[in-house]
Amino acid sequence: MRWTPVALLLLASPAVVSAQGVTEEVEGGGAALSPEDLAPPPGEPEPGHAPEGSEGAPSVSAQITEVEATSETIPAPAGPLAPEPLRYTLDNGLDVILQPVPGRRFAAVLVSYHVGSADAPSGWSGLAHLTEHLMFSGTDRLGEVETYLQLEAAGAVQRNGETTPDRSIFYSVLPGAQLRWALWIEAHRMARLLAGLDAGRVARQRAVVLHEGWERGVYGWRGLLTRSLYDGVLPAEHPYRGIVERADDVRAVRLRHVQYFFQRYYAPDNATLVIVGGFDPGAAREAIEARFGPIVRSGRAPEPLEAAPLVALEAERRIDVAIQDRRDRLRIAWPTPALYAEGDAELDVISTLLAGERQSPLRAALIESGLAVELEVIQRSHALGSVFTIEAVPAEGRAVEELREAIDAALGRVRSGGFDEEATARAAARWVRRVRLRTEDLEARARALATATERYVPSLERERRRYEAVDADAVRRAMARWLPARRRLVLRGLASPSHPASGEVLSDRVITP
Amino acid sequence: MRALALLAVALLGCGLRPSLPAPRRPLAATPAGAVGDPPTEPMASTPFRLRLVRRELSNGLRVVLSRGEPNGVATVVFVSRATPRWGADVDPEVTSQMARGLFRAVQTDGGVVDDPMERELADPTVEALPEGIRITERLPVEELPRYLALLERSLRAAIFRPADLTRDRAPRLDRLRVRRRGPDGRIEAHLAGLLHAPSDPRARGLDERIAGLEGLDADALRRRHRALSDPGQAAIVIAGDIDPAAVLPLVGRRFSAWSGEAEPAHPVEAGYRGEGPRLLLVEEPLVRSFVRVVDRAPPFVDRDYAAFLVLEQLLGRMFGARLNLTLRERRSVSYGLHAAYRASAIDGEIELVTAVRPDRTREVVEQILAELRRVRGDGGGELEPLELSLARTRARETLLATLDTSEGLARAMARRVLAGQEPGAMGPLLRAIDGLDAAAIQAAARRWIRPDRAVFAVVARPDALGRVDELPLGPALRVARDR
Repeated sequence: MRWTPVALLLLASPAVVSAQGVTEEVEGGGAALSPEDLAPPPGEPEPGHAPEGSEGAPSVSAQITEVEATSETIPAPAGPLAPEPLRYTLDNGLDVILQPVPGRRFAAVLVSYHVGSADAPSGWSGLAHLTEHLMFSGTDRLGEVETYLQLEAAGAVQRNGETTPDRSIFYSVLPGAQLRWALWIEAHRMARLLAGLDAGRVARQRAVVLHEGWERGVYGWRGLLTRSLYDGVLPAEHPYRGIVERADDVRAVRLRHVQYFFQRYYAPDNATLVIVGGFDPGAAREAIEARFGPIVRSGRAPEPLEAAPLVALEAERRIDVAIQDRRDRLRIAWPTPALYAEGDAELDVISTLLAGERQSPLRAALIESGLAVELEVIQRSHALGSVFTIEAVPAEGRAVEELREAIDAALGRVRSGGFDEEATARAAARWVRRVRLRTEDLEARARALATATERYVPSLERERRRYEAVDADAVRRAMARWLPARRRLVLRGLASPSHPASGEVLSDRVITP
Repeated sequence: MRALALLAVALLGCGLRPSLPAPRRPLAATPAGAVGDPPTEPMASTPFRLRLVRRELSNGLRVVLSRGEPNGVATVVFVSRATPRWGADVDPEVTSQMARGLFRAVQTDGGVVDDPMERELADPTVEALPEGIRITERLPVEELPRYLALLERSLRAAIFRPADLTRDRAPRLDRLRVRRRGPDGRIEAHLAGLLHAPSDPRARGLDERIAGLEGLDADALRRRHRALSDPGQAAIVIAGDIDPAAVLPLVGRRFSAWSGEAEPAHPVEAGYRGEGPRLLLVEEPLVRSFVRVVDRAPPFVDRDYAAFLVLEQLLGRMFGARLNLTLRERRSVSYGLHAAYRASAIDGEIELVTAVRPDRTREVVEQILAELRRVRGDGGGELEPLELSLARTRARETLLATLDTSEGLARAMARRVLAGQEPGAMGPLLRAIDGLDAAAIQAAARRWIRPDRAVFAVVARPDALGRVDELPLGPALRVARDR
């Protein structure tokens, strides 16, 4: 194994930003407030501690204005949450999205290749993941592990890669002053990874990927549960079938396979570069053109994966899996529309309506009742189709069947009664609030922008409008269309410490209505 | 498409995979040098400036305000040292559960209102820290008046109903009992007791935590809550897109009438065991062995704090940590090793965690032991100047990154107020990090890290444990598999 001497590496490392740029200014020197600041608002009750034994006092429901009346206001910022990001394309096809945030010291740099685990041919699960790892294994100019080290030397506080079903992303959050380093590294490995890749590097990262898989349980019963979920919900031809990584597939990968895969997918016309944070957009554009502009692809660009829009299942499918655990698990799932497609935002809001608050139907029926100890309701959105899932873990002494019955009863009430405008508005407001709070989070903003399609750039403002548009009628329609009763997957993980660590499918049945 | 999928399944069934096309030549179509040399000049830097307004209300409540990025978002952090988690005479579970129940229900003139925060879309994070309580909420700025009103009401008029306690506690207890039967729980049942002296409440294991939770009643929570109601021991820090001139009167009017006085709290300082077993071996037929090493570390008010921020990076917070590179890249025995340094105003702990191939468990434990000795400088162990430079950069920038958001800044400042430090005086800490050399770091390591006293916990198959047991780590506490 070739080791780059750390000494050489750091001699060439970026200039260090000194701490001397930090100043503290204190206004007023910690003086006491002036008397006029201290007057309590008119009509305010005298403070005091809550009375003892308030148990059983009448509950005032849904009248929060009576908790604390306040006429004090701070206006919400007028106008859009942020300027629309700048999007343009280099001559070689690289899609660029820039979102400067004045005043921020750090910037998030993210390169998203439009290739994910769904793009690997059948029998080659893990090829996309291993290629992602190898993007950190150096080039003809960067030694092994040096990519990570260079980013850390540049002050990157986040630096990692990630493989999803749809894309492989590489991101760093580093001082905006060091942006050129991140751009050079991203461009250099896009251009020259294969020039430095050899069988030894592939073997070492293959071992790391296998370690990761074992550590995260992907090759054990957890992976089997996820595979059963996706395979149980999606049609046979769907690209997301069979994408859960298998150890044998990873072991089969050799240098030539990675070379082929990289050449096909890791190219400027199959990637999006996103920068969000404190940087000078003019200087950044120049640097992007200089670094990424000369990169050329090898061969033809791949056709993007396509899948027919998902439709609801025709019947109820029930899969039981033996898991090596101490508590059973229940997952109920439906195929749902793709990320940003019509119905996607509605299903996000439905997940909040069902379980976002203590009195929400599923949370009340499962957690507040003591039937379950864990509950998650989530729309897992992907580019080619999504899965809406209710996941629950029963309390001690309770069976998953009790949970399923309680879920069915709660969903039945929702289907017959629906959600009213007020509840829907509150749930949608939670999603709008979440988008607003994302304003501060550079990495989250970069990740969101990296999911941009040709027609839709998920800027903060557009995302806000997407959720603001969800109303009770839209929720009703989405519930009826996408979450039909008895046309779904019911996946049970049946636990015992003596079950095989790999898990085992015990039964797989279709229940015709 | 379906035919292709069926063919693939058939091939896989025979143990064959569809072959992939050969790569093209040249492998890299872009010529060497096309993207240029690495940059030599940094781009323009944004200086980091803290602008603070500090006031104290007549009731003693301290207020710290900092105006930040104009993005419509602010963070409010309330802290109080009146109810430390490690209080001298109070079960830590009482403090934790009181903190969890703070926003469950409040008394108003019109009756009891359930979940006041949730009704307003707020979702504050409440933490029972070793030295006090911290409540954090990030919110759109227009929600600030409302949130402050609800916060004040909850601090003053939260009620703790037995039925709420029963309902909230049940799933917690259930999860803890399930965890207790698993490998993590069997570590946690013993690990704290191996590190801390029996008289230190930190020595309580999972069984004691479960017992403490089971024994709680609502009166204990109410008593603990009364102690919290002392503005003289509390502070509010607000950072973000705020105008201090507008927010200060809001806080003043809302909180100046808040009253109450508690006995000064006496958090228990950490007490460490000096003798006894420190090797914990837990039998479990796992496909990977888990190794967890814990030792004492300084509180963040200690002179060695800056050195430990750098040591944390050196030991495994940064990818370039020697141990991580050795285990992951050079020896191929692990996905990686992670180090975490946790420091409060009164105590600290450093932890190294990794999952490894069972047949290499002993070797990894030896590697960790050797690394602990190296960072102390034992036997002439040295820190290379350039790994030190990398660790200092990472420590400094990680700290600066937390100050780059309203939430990180407000939380950091509130924690400093809790410890009696100047809230915004980050410069000295950053300069201290930059000024550390190898000798200073090794000296700090020697003051706290003791390879002959650190606790080593290993969960693994019996054959892997047997080889670890042979290491010179003293007598082992062995925990058999739960059947």
